[in-house]
Amino acid sequence: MGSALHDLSYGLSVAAHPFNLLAGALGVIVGTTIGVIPALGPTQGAALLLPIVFRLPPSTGLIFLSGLYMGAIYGGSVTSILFNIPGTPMSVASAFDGYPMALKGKGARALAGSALSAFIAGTTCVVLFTFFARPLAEYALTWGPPEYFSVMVLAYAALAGLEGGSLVKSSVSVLTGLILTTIGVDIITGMPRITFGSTDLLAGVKFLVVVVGMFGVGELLRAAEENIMSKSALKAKVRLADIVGALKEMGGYWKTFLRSTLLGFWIGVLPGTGATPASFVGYGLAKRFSKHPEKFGTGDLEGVVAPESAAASAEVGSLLPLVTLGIPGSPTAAVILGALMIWGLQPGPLLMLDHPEIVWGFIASMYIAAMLSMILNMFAIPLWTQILKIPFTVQVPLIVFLCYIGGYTENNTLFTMWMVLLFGVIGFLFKKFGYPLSPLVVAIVLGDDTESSFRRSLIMSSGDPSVFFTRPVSLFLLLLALALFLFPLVSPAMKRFRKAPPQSARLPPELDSLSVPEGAKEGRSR
Amino acid sequence: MRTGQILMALGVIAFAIAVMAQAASVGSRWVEGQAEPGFFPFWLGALLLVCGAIALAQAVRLSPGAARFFHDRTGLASVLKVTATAAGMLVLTWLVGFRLASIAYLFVYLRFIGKHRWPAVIAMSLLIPISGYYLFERVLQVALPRGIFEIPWLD
Repeated sequence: MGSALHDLSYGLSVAAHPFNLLAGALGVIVGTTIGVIPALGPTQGAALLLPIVFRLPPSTGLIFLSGLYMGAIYGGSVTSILFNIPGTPMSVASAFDGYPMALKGKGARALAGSALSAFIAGTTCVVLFTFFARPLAEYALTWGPPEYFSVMVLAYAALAGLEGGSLVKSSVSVLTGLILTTIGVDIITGMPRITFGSTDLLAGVKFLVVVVGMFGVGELLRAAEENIMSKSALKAKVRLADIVGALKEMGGYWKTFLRSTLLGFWIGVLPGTGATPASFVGYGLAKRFSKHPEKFGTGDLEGVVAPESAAASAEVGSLLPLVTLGIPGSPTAAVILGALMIWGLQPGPLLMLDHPEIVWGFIASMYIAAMLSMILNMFAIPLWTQILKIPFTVQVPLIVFLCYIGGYTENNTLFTMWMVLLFGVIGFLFKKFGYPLSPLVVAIVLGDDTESSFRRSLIMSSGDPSVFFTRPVSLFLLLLALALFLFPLVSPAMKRFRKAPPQSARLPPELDSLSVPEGAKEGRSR
Repeated sequence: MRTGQILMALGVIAFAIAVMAQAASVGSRWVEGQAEPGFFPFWLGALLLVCGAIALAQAVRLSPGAARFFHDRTGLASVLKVTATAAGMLVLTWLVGFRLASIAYLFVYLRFIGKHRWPAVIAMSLLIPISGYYLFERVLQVALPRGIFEIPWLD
């Protein structure tokens, strides 16, 4: 208890350095801009800015990323509520009740409620995080390669099983990501492999190139096809009275809030899943437990509080396995993991012991970023809605330009720019045909570790695969993985409450394949 | 959409087979107490092949014509426009270098696809690339790609 508080206050002292605070504030502004632009979300934003970020010192870079992250989430909710265009997948559920509220002229209250619930839930979870992080990291130090391999299998299984969609397609996505990481020089024997005779592929396919291509260019193609930019905005300006009003009303929903927060946190902790499933589960459960389920979807603040608090909690929760095990809990956490690796830091139990200033500084910066994001953004909404007026035909060349440079910085060859474009097209096709992208991103970040822990385990057991099943922790993790993987098959009920939204056909990309494609198309979600 | 799904599944299968063949060519067995380099990718490829086959079977069973890949021609046209211009920019980069290529790309896209007004087009297609070079080449020390016929540039 005492040590946890000490850790957090140490982190705060790192993050509150004026230069870091400035970086955080800048991150929030850039992030909100990115979140508001429908073709960009936090994952894409973090990926696009990585080439700049990893030139900063790690503690400053991380607070910038935290600010970006929080800002993007907030920006996504703004467009979700005011325009019914979710700026990010995790804010899709916020539109179910947020947009009807805005139509009724209560947009300001919805925005205040969304920001407040995200902030309060995030704060609660930072505290939860602080208590769990050290014990979990210390426990993880006792693990060997088989346990690590199993926990990564768990991450993939959770991604495939909980994303919604088709199991086969999610598995294709995971496997493709893993195969991409094997391209190039084999890390253990030093031999080139899977290069298809190309010398350019010897350097391997780097995660930055794939992420920038699939999320940057790929999303752009999707946005181009669905021509999203023609929507008129509802006006909203948040005043102090709205905040007080929202707080008062939220007091009545404390049960929903608490349920969403705790649930969201654990969904986030589960490796591989993230805020998007959490927001749907939060919304679905709030509706199921409500005494008046019929008022959901008609513009009720409870329908904004439930998904927003679950999503914010999951975001914090997803950092727990990232920091303690080196396993990202969400696609954005995967990008942050990529950044840490570029800095030469290997997330995992040792990071916490060797670089406490990074870990705790990062946690504290999440917290500060949440606060900055709320303060900076609550009153700047009219400004952000202006960004939506930037014509799509200006966004396209600008984003393509940035994606090319972003991919290029990976190893400074023109070939990587072609790969960015290629992965953009592949990403577009994946999405179109209902193959989810986030499993691929997580797989590509974890691929090398998965392979090396797999091969090291087998070397330990001299080639006997039973090593994964005879060690209790490893067996437990694998069984849990199996259960999560088969979850969609055994629980059609899950599908029912994922489909909760009555009036809106929008689903996040990960859930697209749940619904008939035509249904999801009329409203674009990302 | 059915045809598309089938083609996509076939693509996955083809990729899986290619990966397995590539992995087998560098050795994919277990020898001398450890795995050969192709061991892990070979089995991943095999799993991918199984998934691809199931996806193919599912795609074949879809009812034909349930949904079109593109709603209408505008969708297809705008995707093609974005892709073709982006690819064109890379060809230009190969020829004359990134700096000139990005100016040309922004100019063409903004003027001929975006149909923005001349002053805005000229301002943006100069401002964005120039601030980009400044940030990356000068501040971050990333040498952007040069072309075969690099034109001497006023820095």
